[in-house]
Amino acid sequence: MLGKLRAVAWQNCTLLRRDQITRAVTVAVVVITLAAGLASTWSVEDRVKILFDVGYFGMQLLGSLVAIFWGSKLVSDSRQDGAIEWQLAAPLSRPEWLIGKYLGLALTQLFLATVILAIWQLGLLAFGYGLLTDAQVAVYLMMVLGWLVLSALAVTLAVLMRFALALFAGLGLWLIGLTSQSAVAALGPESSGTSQAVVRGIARVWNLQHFNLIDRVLEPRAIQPSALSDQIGYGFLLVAMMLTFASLVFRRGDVAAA
Amino acid sequence: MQNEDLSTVADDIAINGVRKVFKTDLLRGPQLAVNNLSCRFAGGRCTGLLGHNGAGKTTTIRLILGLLKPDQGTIKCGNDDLSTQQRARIGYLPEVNKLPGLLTAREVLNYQLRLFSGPALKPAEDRRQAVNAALAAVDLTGHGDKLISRLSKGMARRLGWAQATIHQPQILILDEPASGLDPLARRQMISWIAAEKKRHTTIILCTHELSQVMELCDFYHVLRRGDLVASGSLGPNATQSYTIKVSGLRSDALERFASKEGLPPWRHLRQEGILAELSFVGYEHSARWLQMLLAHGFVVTHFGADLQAFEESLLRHYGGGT
Repeated sequence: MLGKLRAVAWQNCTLLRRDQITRAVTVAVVVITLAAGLASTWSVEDRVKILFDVGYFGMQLLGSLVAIFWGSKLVSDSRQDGAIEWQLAAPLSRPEWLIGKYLGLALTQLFLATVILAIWQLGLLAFGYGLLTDAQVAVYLMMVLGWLVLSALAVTLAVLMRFALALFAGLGLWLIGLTSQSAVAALGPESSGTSQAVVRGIARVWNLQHFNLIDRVLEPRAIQPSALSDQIGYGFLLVAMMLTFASLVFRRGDVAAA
Repeated sequence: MQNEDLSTVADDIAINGVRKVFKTDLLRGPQLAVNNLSCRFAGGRCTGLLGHNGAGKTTTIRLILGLLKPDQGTIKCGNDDLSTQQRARIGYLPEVNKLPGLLTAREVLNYQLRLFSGPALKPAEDRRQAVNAALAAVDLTGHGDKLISRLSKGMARRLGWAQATIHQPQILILDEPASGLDPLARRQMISWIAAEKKRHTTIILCTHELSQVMELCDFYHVLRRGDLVASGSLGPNATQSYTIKVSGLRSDALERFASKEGLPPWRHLRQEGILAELSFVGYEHSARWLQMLLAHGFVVTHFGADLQAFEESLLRHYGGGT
C-alpha cells in the first residue's frame, strides 16, 4: 500500500512542479521580497517590523491562495482530462488515490515553501538584515502548516463539489477561519446567546489564526517547539479529519471522466 | 482452439442483471444507461461490444472497471467479484488519450508498473528495463523523455497501448483503440490486438468499426439504449452469411453443377462478368460448395464471411429493426 501511495504522491508532485503556477509563485515571491525590502528601507522606524509584516503577509496570502487553488482542482482536473479513469482502473483503492494525491500536493507545497524561504533569505541578506532567526523560521513553518490545512480543506471540498464551487467555498471558509477569532473578540454583551454560541463554536473548531504567529516574530526569546505543540497538533488533526471525511465520501458513488 | 494451451487463460467475466441509472441531470431526470444487462465475456477470447453512440458501451466498461457502481446486479471474474486487487489483471485503453500531458512517456509507464506489478518488479533497474522494452515495442524508443503533450496523436495512442499492456494483463479492455489513427497506425494497432489474442488475453473490444470486429472478435454483444439486443459468435457458424466468388461459371452452369453434385441451394447469386458471387447462410453449406468447386478445378477468388450481410444484420439491431 505504501508503494502505491508513494507512486501516486510522486506522480502528482511531478505534475504540480511542472504546473505554471509553480513558476508564477516563484516570480511573485521575488516581487514580494523586493517590495518588503524596499518598504523597510524607505521607512524611518520599525524597519524590521515592516519588512516582516509586508513579506509574511504577502507569502501568507500567496501560499493560502495556491493551497486552495491546487486543492480544489486536484480531483476536477483528473476528471476533466480523464486521467482519473486510467488511474482508478489500476489496483488502487479510491482512498489510496485521494490520499496519495494529497501527499503529492503537500510535498509540492513543502518544495515550494523551501524555494520561498530560500528567496526570502537571499532577500534579507541583500537588504542587510542577515540570517533568519529560529523564531522567524518557526513562524514561517507554522504558516506552511496553515497551507497544508487549507489544501486538505480544498481537497475535501473538491470531492464534494465541482471545481468552481469548491474554489469559492474554500475561499469563503478561509476568510471565516481568518476572522473567526476577531469575531469572538468583537462579540458584545448585547449579542444574543445563540449568536455567541455559534461564533464561539466556529472559532473553536476553525481558527486559522492558530497558524499566524507573526506577532512573535520580533520577540527576543526563541519560540520553543513545546510551546507550539497545540498549534501543530491542531493542524495535523484538522488535516487527518478532513482527509478521512473526504476518503469516506470519495469511496462511495461513481467516479468517471466529465 | 481445442489444441491450444489454455492453462494461462483468464476466467470469464460475467455480468449478471446489472442496471445503472444516472441521476445527475436535474433537467432531464434519471437517465437509464444500462438495463438489466446480463452477458459474458469469454476467457481468452476477444468479444466485441457494439452499439450506437449512447447505447451503454462505455458505461458497461466503466462498470467493469469499478469506476461506476451498479444500482443492482453483479460483475464477476470467474467466481470472484472484480475487487481492487483483481484489477491488477486488467489493462485498459480509454477511447481518447487520457494520460497527463505534463508527464513524460517514461514516467507514465514507470507509474503504471509501480501500481500494477507488485513486488515482482520492485527494483528500479527491473522497471527501467521493462519500460525501455515497452517503449521499443511501440516504436517510441527515442521519445521516452518527451512530455506527453508534445507527442503526436498517433504516438500518444501508441503510448496508451504500452501503458495498457506493460504489465501483461490477462484481461484487456479496449475502447475504440484505433480511433483517430491513420491507416498505417490502425493496421499496427490491429496487429497488436491480434498478438494479444494469440496470447489468450481476454479482450473486450468496444468499437464502431465492424471490419475490426470481423477481423478480431470471436463473439459480439450489441447494446441498444442500455439493453442487450443481440449476441453471437463470429467463428464458423450456422447463422452467419458466407460468400464464394468463382471465376468462369455462369448461373445456368452453376445450377447444373449443384444438381449434379447434390449441393445445397444458395441464398443469392450475383453475376459480374465472368465472376459469380454466391451467398449462403451457414458455414456448412458454403464449405461444401467450396470443397466441390476446388475438387473440380474451378478458380475460387474469394471465400469468407459476408461482411456486408453481417453489417446489415448488426445495423438492424442498432436501429431497432428485427
